[in-house]
Amino acid sequence: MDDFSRQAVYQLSRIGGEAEYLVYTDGERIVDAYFISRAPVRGFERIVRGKNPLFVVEAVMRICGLCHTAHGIAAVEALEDALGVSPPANGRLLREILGLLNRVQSHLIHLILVTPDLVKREVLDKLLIDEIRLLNRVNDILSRIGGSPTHPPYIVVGGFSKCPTQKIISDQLRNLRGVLDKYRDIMATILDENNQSGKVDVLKNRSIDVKPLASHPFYGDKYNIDLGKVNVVHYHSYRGNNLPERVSKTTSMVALYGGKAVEVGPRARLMIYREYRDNSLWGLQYARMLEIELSLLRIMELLEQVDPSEPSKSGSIVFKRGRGVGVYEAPRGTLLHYVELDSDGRVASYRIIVPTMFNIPYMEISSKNLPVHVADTIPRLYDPCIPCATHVVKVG
Amino acid sequence: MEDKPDILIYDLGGCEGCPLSILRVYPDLRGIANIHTHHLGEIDLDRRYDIAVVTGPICINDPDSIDVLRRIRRNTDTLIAYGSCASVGGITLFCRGGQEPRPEHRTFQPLSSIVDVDYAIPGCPPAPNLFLALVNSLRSGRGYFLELFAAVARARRLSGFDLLDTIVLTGLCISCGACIISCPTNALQMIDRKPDLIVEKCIRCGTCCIRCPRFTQILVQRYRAGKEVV
Amino acid sequence: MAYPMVLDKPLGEYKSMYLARARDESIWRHRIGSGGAVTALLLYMLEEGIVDAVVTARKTRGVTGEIVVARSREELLEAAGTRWSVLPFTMRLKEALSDESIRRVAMVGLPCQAQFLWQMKLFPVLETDFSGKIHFIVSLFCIGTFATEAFLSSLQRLYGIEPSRVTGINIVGDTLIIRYDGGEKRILLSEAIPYMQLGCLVCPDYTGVFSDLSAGISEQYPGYTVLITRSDRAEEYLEEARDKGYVELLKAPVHIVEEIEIKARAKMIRAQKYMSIVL
Repeated sequence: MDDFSRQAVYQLSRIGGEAEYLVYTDGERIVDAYFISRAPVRGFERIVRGKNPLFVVEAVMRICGLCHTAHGIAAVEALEDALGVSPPANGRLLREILGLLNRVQSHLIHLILVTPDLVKREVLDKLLIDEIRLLNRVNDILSRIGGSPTHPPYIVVGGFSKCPTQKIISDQLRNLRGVLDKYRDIMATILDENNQSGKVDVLKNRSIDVKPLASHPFYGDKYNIDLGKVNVVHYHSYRGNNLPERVSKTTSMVALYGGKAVEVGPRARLMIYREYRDNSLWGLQYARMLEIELSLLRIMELLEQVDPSEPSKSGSIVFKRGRGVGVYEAPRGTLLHYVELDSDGRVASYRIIVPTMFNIPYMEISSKNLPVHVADTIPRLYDPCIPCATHVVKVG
Repeated sequence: MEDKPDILIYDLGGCEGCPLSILRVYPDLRGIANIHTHHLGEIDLDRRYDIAVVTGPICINDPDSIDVLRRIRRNTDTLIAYGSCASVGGITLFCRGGQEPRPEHRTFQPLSSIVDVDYAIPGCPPAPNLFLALVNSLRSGRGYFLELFAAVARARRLSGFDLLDTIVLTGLCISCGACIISCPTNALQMIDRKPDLIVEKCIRCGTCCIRCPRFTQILVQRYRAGKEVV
Repeated sequence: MAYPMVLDKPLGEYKSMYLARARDESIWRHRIGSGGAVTALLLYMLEEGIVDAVVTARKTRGVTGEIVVARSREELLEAAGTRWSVLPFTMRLKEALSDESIRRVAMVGLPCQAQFLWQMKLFPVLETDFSGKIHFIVSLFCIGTFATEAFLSSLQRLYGIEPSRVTGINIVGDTLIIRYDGGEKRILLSEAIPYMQLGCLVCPDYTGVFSDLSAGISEQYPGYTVLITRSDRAEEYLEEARDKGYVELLKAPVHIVEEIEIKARAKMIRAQKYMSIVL
């Protein structure tokens, strides 16, 4: 690949975290690309070793300021699996609600990041401000139900530590309806072809051979995927040797399913559970936008089922030896947490596999033969989350 | 500053919760400052900024990160360590390393361990409006609490454990309740009118310490006397 | 804290000092040594809709009290005057204030509490506390609080006064007057110092410099409240409350200002002494 003397390194802006996109071109079209994450490895799997499950939940949420709730949910699911505990109905409902609120929050943040690629300059400024204001409204709702707009403390082993009152539920239902209306306006603006940028045409015309992986449309289900097929490898194992030197600096690994690359995330979920068919690059963004709407509707549906007179947390939890897995559909795709507890109920080992790891191959393959001017848009479309991606341990 | 100051927002490898919190208040910020953040566009690290706001911890085993931090420090007169990880270490003080693909990334510290920091603000993450208040304070040049934030920049850690060691166990606590209501994980509870720390819940964010009237008094007095702050 | 007072300006920055009294006699008649002006002002703010709630304290028994969120005249009038222990702000208070119908709150506390409330308002860290709702902060003059259980049990040991019989405590000059249902006991303040909280002995703030309004008493004018306004809104609301007949207001004469300054200075000097031991 060093035959192609033209290369460009993009310090990717408008993504969650620090990463580079190393691109080789023939002058006009992209010939090859490498996704190099650059954030240091904080190593949360090691941080939680020896710790009490209470700490685990608070800690893993702080892996990421975008998908904090998703990590919290995957962690409590894994811990409950290990301890043989199940939340009561209210707890399960509230978790799904909060997780979906985080999904909406995260997709909206991504929308703010990617909108400059999608629309013309004339409509960009107002659209960005509207999107940020809408994000703030979603954050308020998440804060009222979860206890904080980021790293919500009400997610606990055994369920949900604080059930909202009937008044809070009614108020938030009303707020959600307002959010949905405003979101539909924003979506209409972006879907209006008169507003779309030239890049959107390029994205619409590029199809990808998508092999989707997803465990559930709205929550997560460890029985819907074959855990034995999940495999994590070093970047060079997946891409072979003779890599450009810069690539050796990458701080993330790659996840495969059955030894092959799979796409996870909104489009994968919609393809598997809703017969979504658009496999173009634009289709990926459109799927994410649709998911915001579907999630808002689902949240309202679930909120109406919450019964404040019933408990939301399991009564007795004993920390003891055990092993468990939590599979949860984070905003960016399938997220897995594996935990092993020692005889005191403290963490003996912990592993996390994040969706961005699955999507790295797609981020690289999808830009082949595309014009150079859309290069940095491609990884951005996959909504990579670098704080999450720098936490993977070799599995299997 | 009469003109709008140029403010850089840069995350070194934290969870991004802090820069996102600043992004949320961007509609109000852009009237009083020119904000340069990679969440909205390209940023240039080789130009000067009036204020540089850095979030996330510094990994002292990653020379590239240290290089970036030093570059940012050289290019500004006012460096702010924003959020718990950047200011006092936060959850990343628990990092141990040993994790692939970079097992050598084993020690994460607040920024003040590598460069001189002018102001350090704890919070996991701080509320969006805090950033607005901070920019306004800096522009007017006044504000008693700025001195507190300068003092925190000298602290290498602040946590519920430090609150216990410095204030509660020494008998200085007056039971005002400030720490109880400021903890993001509800790790502090009043027992017999004194704060008790649920150790498993403390993520070392430092918020309790900067709310405690006695702790802040000690921080500022030691800072003024040029002594070790914590 | 970066306290904005120095020895020759022991009251910090302020606008005016007043002597004030509630117009409604029933408010101050039962308070010994205070004119009830703070209660009257807060009543004005509540009834005028300037605030939706007032966070203050109510006596429960003898010298103990509890924090209340007063939303009506009746609830506010039950509020106590001086405080002998810090009543800690708790999670329950935070929950009570998260009610959406409470949009603005007036808060009464001791100088230490006023300080962190002021900081919360100015620099909100936690997004889910009530910092956005704090509209008016009142701090009460404070020479320090007692470690209540320790002090009351010492009264029993040394003077045979059962804690449950204590109905009130006042300071006049350097004497502590303890009222109980059997009479009155006078103790020199210096004898009671060992029962004061150490954290109070290092505190230099007598009046509460981080507040909209500071309030306390002067020995030369028992039956009146000394008010120190520190913000525009404090001046504004006080004037309106006077015009609407809630309070009587007089500019404080110079010898009152001096009296308060002397006490404030004494506390600063005491704080320096104890702080040098601690640091």
